[in-house]
Amino acid sequence: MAHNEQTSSTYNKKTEPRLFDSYGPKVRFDVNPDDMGFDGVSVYQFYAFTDDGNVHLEAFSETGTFHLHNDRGIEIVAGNKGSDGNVDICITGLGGDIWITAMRDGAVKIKGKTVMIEATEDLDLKASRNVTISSGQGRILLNGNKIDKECFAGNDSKEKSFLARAYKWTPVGSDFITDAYGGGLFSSILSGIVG
Amino acid sequence: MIDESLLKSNFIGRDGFRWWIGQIPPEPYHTQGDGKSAWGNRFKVRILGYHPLDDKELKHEDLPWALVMLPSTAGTGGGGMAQSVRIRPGDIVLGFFMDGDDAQSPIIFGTLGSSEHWNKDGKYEFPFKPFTGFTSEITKPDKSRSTASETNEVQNERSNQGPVCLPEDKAKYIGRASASGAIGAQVIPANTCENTTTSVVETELENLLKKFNDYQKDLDKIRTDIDKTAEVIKGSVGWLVGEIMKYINKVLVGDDSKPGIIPNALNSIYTATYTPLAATAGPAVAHQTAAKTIKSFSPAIQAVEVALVCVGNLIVEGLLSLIKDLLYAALENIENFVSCIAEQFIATLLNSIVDAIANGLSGVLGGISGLLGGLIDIVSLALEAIAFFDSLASFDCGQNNNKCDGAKKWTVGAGPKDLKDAEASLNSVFGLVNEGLGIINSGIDIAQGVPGSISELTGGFGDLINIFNGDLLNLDGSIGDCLPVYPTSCGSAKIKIFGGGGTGAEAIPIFGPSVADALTNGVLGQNISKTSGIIGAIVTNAGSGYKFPPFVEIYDDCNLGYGAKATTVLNPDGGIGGVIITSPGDNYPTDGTNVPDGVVDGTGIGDGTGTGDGTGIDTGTSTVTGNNPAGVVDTNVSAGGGGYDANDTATDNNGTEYQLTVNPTNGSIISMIPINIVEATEIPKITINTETGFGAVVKPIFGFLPDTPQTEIVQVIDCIS
Repeated sequence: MAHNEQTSSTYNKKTEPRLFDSYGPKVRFDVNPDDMGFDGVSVYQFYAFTDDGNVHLEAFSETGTFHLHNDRGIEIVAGNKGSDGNVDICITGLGGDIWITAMRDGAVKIKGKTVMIEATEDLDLKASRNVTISSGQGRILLNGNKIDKECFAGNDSKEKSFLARAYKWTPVGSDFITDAYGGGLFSSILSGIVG
Repeated sequence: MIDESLLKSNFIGRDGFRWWIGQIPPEPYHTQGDGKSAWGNRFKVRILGYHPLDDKELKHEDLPWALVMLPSTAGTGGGGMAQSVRIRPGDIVLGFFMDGDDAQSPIIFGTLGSSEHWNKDGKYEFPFKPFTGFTSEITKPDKSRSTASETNEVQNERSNQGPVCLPEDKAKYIGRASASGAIGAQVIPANTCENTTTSVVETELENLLKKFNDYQKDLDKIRTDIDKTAEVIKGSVGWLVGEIMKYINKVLVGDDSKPGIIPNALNSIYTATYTPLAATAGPAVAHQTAAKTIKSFSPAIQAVEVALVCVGNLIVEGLLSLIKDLLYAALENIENFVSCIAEQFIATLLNSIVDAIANGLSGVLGGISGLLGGLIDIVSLALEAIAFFDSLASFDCGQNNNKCDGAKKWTVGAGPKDLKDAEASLNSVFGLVNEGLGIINSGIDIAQGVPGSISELTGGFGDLINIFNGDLLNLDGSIGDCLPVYPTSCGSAKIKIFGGGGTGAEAIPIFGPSVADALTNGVLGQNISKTSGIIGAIVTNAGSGYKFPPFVEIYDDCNLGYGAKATTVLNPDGGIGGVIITSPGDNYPTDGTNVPDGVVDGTGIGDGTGTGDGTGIDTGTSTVTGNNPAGVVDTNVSAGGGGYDANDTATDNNGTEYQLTVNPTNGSIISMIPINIVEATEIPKITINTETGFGAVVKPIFGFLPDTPQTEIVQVIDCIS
């Protein structure tokens, strides 16, 4: 593929500030590299790779963004000698958002003795499939000035169920629906479908 | 001999001091040590003028050992302080003999860095010819991972070039290694307030295509990624299917505010039964009979309820193989990713989903056909549902909610990127679904039995349209406009302003000096002769309602440019006061002028008379009448600092001079106005000439130069005092 190294930012290249410290091909440290990056020019780059080609990169851009990339895992461990009440890891966004995204269908797992999530405004949970809240020996408390529930089926939705809604607006009303759920009708239909 | 020995002092320098220049021999003679013991830092060295040029006459192993002298900052190892010696085979080293003219105890004092002309690329052939410093222990790296450069020259940009922070494809264009394969990947974070299905699919497709290209279009290598991507898309589309099912539910039975089709039908039957009976047998008997009649439909209605819950899940699970097939088709046929591909992808999925829903529900709806008195067009119902998705954004209950105002997408290695407008995307998808369904069936005969198996529920994908094999690309209309090949016309770079909670802000880029670029000419842009960096931006529409500075994305239609970054400053009224370029970037297509033709005015597309052809930014409403160059016309003082004097001055690298207005109380800068407006050719870097001031941050605001550029400084006379 044809290319011309004389790119348009050549005029912007400043070779004098450029410093590098190369420890062989696998590890190098570049200060003020004169190459234009995807996030503009860098203040410094630390780069290393393994024999298998796995890359580690940390770079600080003139935009002020610090980039930390690793082709495999990043292990952050603290508190080996910590104790109860200590803060082992503190991640703080002083200005904007904090994003945690597991791409490629990965799971986000958070575990602790107590898990607290506090929102100064809204707490939204959205799932493409199921939302499960499971309590062991304790209780599940939903506490709010107003609680709405929207669903079309389920054992806690007799008055909201499809069947109940079908009869809610008729002179019959939906009271008799309990009997329908109490009988064997539901399970027999389900078994017929998934049969 | 004895006399000579007696005459020697055996102190370094007293018996003569001899400099020498030599070369480190090739592996395995270059260094000492079997890894277990050594005698300091020693290297064999062949010394010019002392040792023969023939390595047979004096073999490498017979060369003298030279000790390496370390700088005082390297540490000797004492106290645990040390730095490794970095001497390699073939290196030219310079030193002296500790034993003077005896020349048996050489010390390496330093090295001479290799220049580009000292070509070390090659194996050892004979003494003093350059050869590589790579050995069997330190091997030459794969060019795709790191530099193989063996030069060390100050101010030579090719010297020991490291990998660049660019995506693989762009790094490859300039013949360099990418510093991270992750650069360029798109990330969409959690988003509970918008329908992100289109964006998720777009992002996943784009990421997959990027990997595919990184893997040299090897489908086998990317097979695992296709499986993962299919799962992610399935999850996102699954949410969409859930919404369709909810909508169908709502239409069939209604909600708390109004009845749906089934209650209305039940009421009709109730009335039809009750009215004649009430006249003859009385209201009580009539009610009992009518109630019994409509209650008799409950098993069939409940069957619909069960089916609605199951069908959606079964369809989504069954979609996986279809999504994989579509992904393979996409990778094999898409040369260049364009966002409309995602819309076609989703439309194809939705076509299949709508078809499958109709098939899946046909049996149970057939069970209540007597109640409804005819057919239900589930296809139309599902299409209505798709058009209804923007309803999710109305959950706010009137609360002031700005949780969706910030960045919603991120490009790894580059930063925030605009998320495609969900409503616009869905409208496009909806159009494509409609178009596609014209080819599929348009109505379902509901007079069928209850489905008896899962395959019957999920078997409705038979009418799949392969959108990527070119069939639909040949259609007229929106589908035909989506071409997954490299465009032949790139236009100039553009600026997109997004986020910040406001709307309407627009800006145009100002280009720096351009160069003819063989890359863009040779590869894609037949109409591109030059590329450039971005040195400034002019706000053409301040917009309104911004609560915090919005993000800026600088792009071109061919995705050639990269690295231009900008921030915005807000006006007190919530509009954009300026777009500040923090990095010029590289390789943005331009026609070579400061303000490209066709972007703003005059010679281009819009001229203020409404004759614009719609392909540029200005569509005829611009008041700009000339293709004037641009420069700094104002500044934004984001931090006033302190200690500045009224007599302080400021200049920038383009030759603009500025007048400062300083707060006499605390010495902070209140404003800074350019007093000679000249064309800018570089990103302006403003220098404040002061001996006392500190802390001010002033950013340049670009604008068009006056028709008659002011090139000389006009003296400002203060008439007030």
